[in-house]
Amino acid sequence: MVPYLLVAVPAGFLLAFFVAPNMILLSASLLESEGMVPTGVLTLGNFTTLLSHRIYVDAIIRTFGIGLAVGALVVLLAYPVAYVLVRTTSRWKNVLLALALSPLLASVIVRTYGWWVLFNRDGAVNEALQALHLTARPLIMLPSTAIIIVGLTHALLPYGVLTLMAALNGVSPNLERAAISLGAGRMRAFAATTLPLTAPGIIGGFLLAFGVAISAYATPAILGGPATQTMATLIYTFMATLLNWSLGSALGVVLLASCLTLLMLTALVSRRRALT
Amino acid sequence: MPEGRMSEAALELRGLEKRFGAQTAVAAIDLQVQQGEFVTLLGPSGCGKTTTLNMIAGFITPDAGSIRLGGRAVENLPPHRRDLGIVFQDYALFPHRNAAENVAFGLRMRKLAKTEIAARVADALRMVRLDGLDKRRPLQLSGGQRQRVALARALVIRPALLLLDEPLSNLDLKLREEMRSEISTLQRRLGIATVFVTHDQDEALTMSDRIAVMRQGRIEQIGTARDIYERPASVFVATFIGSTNLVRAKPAGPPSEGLVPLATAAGPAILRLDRPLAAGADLLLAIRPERLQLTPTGTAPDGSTAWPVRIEGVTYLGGRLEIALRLADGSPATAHAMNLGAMAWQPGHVADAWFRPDDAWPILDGGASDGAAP
Ligand SMILES: Nc1ncnc2c1ncn2[C@@H]1O[C@H](COP(=O)(O)OP(=O)(O)O)[C@@H](O)[C@H]1O
Ligand SMILES: [Mg+2]
Repeated sequence: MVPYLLVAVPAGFLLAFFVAPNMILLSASLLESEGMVPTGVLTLGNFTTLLSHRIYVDAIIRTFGIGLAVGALVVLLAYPVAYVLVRTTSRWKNVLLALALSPLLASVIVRTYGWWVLFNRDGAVNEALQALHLTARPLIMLPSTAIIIVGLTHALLPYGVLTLMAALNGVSPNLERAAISLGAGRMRAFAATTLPLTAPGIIGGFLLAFGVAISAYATPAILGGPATQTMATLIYTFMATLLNWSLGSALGVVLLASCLTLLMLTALVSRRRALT
Repeated sequence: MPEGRMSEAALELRGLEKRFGAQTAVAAIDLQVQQGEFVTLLGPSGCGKTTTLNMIAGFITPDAGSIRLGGRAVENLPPHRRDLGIVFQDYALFPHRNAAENVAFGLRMRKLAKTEIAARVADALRMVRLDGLDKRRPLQLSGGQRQRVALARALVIRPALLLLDEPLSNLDLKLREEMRSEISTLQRRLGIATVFVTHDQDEALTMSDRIAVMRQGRIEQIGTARDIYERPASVFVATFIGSTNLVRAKPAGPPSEGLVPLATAAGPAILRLDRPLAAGADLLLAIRPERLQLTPTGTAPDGSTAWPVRIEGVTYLGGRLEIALRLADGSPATAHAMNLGAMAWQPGHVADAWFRPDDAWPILDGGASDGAAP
């Protein structure tokens, strides 16, 4: 009996707080709504509305652009850090690791406002530039898609480092040495051994950062503006400002479908990995 | 053969040193390996064997000293140009490539023609008796087969020097003994200069032309297996390789006809030495248990050293018996006897333990060498 109970409690929790809301979301996206109240009329109109308005399509494209950029940046920046952390024999290794993961100690909101403080019109960066007479007037760096990418990359870097460290830990440093002893230069040896062997970690780190980035709300909300809407901020606008639950739900479905596709891709990649 | 004349030593280390922070991993190592020679670095874990190999390979930069390969200084030669074959303790086979691709890697780096690579890979795999397994990935091979792929991969590039870092320590006992003779045979056949690293004395004794016994970053003694075993330069060497009885002793008179009288804690003794001992030197007399023989009191052969002993215990080891003794001064000793059937010795018996003048070796107490006068 007890084993069933052990499964039933979390299963019931998931059912009540994950599956049910998503079913409601899904059904709302297929219904016409008047204000906040979905009617009983079935329609695909919510999706066609989303796809026929330039600003909505732009937001969807921007979201994926941000996801791709953040995923790529996180992997590119996290890889060298993870490599050094895994390979170093320094006794400062644990200190370095703690430093690399320290951003996790501050909440996303605090970290994101940190970027805002730095880059807003009267922020530290503008004041420094002007003090050095590099610019005459303050630069408008915020709100912008670029700064959203910077903020998200920063927030997700520790996860990238952890994912890649796990991958690198599974690769003996002697492989590169073996390749070198056989006549390969350092980069060649890395490209022939460690790089392909950590490919699953690279893909995993990318997908993780991509998935979190496209569904992030706080960072694009704080560092972005009306001209840099992402799916998440747009959903909020639909739901809380325009009070159009059906449109919000439809966009939610698009986001959810993207994330699920991603999950399946990840599973597929790790399956293929396991088979080889 | 790569550059460097045949007459040059394949490897020459002079004053090689490496520190990690405050810790000295390798302290002033001098070593020469001749062409075709098999030299073993033997020592306990942490004594600096791997660090020494890594400096030879170029993976670690020495703090001091010089390395010459085939007569050529290599300080400024990057590791991928040193032309060494290395077998790592974990084999370091590329897990995403099959056996043939692993072996081909070094040849591809040398940009050889495809047909030549194929031919040499096939030869190398045949040499280590792996023909037919060329398409297997490392994970699909047994421990011994992986070991052979690693050997083939290191040898196929025809390196000037082969470095092996505890290559047998991951194999089970039977396979280890098999690979031991296989590596030896291969090394002799190819005539390749080899530095073999191990902490296993049996491997060192059976495989090497010469053994360098290391301790705390230094070479304590270097010589043939027989030198090391029968004429240990220090207490460390005497006790690290095999087991040995150590008895306090002092010279007890001038040598005559190559025989030196000693006064020991267990009674007087006579040694055959080719050099005189410094008068009054504090010595430890090293006698291997298999050289210490038991006989009823008063029946030891003439000219041998006989000490009265008391038998404390007999351990049955199958082919031989290990007999625990107590010497005249009350200190313990061990003798090995062939198990010839009759259990002649029982605890409580009193007997003579005897050895010939050539069967014991004096070690200067607290230091190296035999205490020979300058
Ligand atoms: N990269 C390193 N950083 C700090 N200490 C090291 C490093 N490599 C080796 N050591 C130390 O140097 C000593 C010799 O190590 P090693 O050469 O690996 O010994 P062995 O191979 O004989 O077991 C050991 O005490 C080890 O802890
Ligand atoms: Mg080692």
